[in-house]
Amino acid sequence: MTYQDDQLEELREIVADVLELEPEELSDTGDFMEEYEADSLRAIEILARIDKRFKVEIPQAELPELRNLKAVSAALARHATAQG
Amino acid sequence: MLEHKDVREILPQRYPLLLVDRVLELQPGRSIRTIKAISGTEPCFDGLPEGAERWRFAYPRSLMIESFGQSAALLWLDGRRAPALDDRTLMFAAARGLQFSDFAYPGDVLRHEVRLDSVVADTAFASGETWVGDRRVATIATLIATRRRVAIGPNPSPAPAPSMCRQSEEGQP
Amino acid sequence: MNRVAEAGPATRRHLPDTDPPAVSSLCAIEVVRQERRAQTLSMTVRVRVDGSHLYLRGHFPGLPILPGVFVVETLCQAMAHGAGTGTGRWPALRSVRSLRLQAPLLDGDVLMLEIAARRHPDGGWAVTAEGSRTDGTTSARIRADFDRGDAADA
Repeated sequence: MTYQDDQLEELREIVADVLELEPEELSDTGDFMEEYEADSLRAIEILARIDKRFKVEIPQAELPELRNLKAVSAALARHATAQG
Repeated sequence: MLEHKDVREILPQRYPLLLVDRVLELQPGRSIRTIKAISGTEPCFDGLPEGAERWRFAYPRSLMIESFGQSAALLWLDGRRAPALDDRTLMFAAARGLQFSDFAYPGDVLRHEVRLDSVVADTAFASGETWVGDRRVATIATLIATRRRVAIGPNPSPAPAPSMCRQSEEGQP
Repeated sequence: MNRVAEAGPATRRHLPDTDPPAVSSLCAIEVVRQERRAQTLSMTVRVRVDGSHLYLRGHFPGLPILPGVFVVETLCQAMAHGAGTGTGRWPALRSVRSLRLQAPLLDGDVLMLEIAARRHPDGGWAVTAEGSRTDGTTSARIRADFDRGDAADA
């Protein structure tokens, strides 16, 4: 697995924990709100956990776009590079 | 260090639900250490039957959580009173991974060690432990609080929305 | 069916008139429904938010709001009632896996808590509960574990 695959899987575990699912139940593109009954507090919790684990701060303004795991992963990659 | 008098000026709760006696240490934005003494004269022990066994005097774990949460609130508020124009209340929104490992009884002093892990979009994430002496009685993986306005008056009709339920929407994220 | 027993006006405490006897004066629950089987327990309990209750006078003065932790307390009292055996310590809260508090409950509201508990192999209980407000809004969700109680010493 590449480094990015590892990170995606770790991200899956974190997001699954917040959404109270098993990691294998969380698909890459499943919409958090539509498919997993998430609300905005859960989205904020995901941001906070990413900040804590990866030391990467994703701006709150991007919250509405964080609709699925793939989008979260992309945001993480985007801001990780920017923040070095 | 903040005495009970100071705690009372910062938090809106009052007797018998103001559950922090004293702040021992505060590192603004990072951590707080508080204590709450448990006494046999607390209202939660009122009405126990004669000959009540020891276990009936275990301090309610719900109140232990509340005491921890108020400590987290003090930390979030930086140990200072909110500005007069701020009519928002700190509300307990969610928690994860609360583990209770021991009971606490009258005569024990709860000591909360709280860390502020992050604040995002007016939502604070805290974690920590509660001790009695060198006995850990509780571990808190995540405690989440939000700052919002609560409307006075009849409840508005439910508006099930993907966002957090709020009493009054005020352009919050 | 269990009812709330009230003392006189001087000591306004609310104690469920239950067997096992008085759990706590924190908040009085009414058991609306209970089904206990060997491995499962399901209950519906009700809590009325009464602004004049001692605890609510302090939370908050002039604006009674049911403290979120009272949802946990309601669950604890329900489990004491439904899963307790009448002798020895009733099952105590061991952990809260997740607690989600949504719609606040104000003076006059009624919290209805639907509880589903399943026995662990070790005798404890895995519990999920969902609370709703008078207007039907979901107010709280909780997943928790209780121990088996009956310990010689808590």
